[in-house]
Amino acid sequence: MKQSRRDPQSFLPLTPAFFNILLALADGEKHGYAIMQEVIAHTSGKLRIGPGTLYGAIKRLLEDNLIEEIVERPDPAHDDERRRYYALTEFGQRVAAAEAARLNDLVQLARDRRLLPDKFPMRGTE
Amino acid sequence: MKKSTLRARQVFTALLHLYPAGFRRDYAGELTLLFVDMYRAASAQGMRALVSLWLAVLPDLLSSALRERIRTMFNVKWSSVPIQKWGGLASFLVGVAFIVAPLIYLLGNLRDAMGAFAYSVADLLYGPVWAASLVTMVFTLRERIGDRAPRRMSLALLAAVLAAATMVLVACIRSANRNYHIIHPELHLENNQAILIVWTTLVAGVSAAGWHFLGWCLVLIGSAGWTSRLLPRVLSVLYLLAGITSMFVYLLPANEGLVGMLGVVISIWQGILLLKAGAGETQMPEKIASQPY
Repeated sequence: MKQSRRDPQSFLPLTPAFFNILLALADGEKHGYAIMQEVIAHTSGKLRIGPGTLYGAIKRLLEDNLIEEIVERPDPAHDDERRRYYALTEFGQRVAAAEAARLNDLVQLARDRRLLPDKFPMRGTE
Repeated sequence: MKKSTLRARQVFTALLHLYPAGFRRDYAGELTLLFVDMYRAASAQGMRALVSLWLAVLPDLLSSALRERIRTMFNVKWSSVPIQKWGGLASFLVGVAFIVAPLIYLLGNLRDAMGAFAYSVADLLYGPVWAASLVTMVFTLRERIGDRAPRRMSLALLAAVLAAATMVLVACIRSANRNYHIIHPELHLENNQAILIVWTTLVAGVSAAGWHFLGWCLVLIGSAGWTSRLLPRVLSVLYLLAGITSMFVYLLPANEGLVGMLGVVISIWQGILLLKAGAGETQMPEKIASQPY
């Protein structure tokens, strides 16, 4: 795997589109449409990435070695062979983790400033 | 595939021509597949969903195509040889303008037969030629150093554009002034002190602003060249020295000559380096980073 010499912090803050694409790929490789569906699902439809924006982002994430195209298809028998699958690289995981930590710090700050209750309801529990 | 889906796919494929060729080559197939998936899902939900789909897809395509075009325009790789050769040539032209134009301004005489023509040449050299050459040179340097110092080199390019625009403005003012004098000799404007003060102040003030922007541009290049080690140390120092001097020409107008001399040395040296790189004599560094998000 190609190693990146860059510091993950130099990529922060990520735009919502970039971060959500990385999040969508965190639990396994996906093709473009699956990424789009996953982003809609995990943001409860609040973020909808258009096709042009999605592939523009994929291009940049590939260039920066945050994601990679995988050669082996998960289910070649039941899938269109023209689809390309993408997966997080190790460096992409580090960047996504750094962004998550940054956002966590912001949430903590919001709690300290009493903008959020100490026990904020988890998504899907209410 | 349904006829309506086929038609929609044809429209979408045609719209993909808005993207640069490279992007289309890499992603058009996947984009089309993705769109067909979206279209099928929307058509299952009825006409309203289809309208919503187009209303979402069209602005997204337009904005992302524009973004990709801008990226392509400003992200030519350093390995691209022709741009370095153009950069080298532009650099030499900056040097020529720095030498020839001031000489004409200093030694020229409007009353000579060729006086007006010589001044026009000087205005052309110190205006549009200098401006276009400077922007091309800095643009080329941005390709060389931009990976290691993206913000500084983008700001340098912006400063170069501002300096270029200001110097074109100065050339236009000079030229308009001279031509008006020539066309209306009966007004004896050269003897009108008020007009003389206004014109000279205007030209000096606007060109001082140009020198100031040029100063920022040179300082940023010098700093980026020093930290990236992609320019010779001495050249980086010259950039910094010329930049700082140029920034304060508005306070110390006598330093204009010093900036001009340093500009000649820098532009010729830089021109040689860029032409050498264009001829493949310089090993280009591996691209280690693109611009941060």
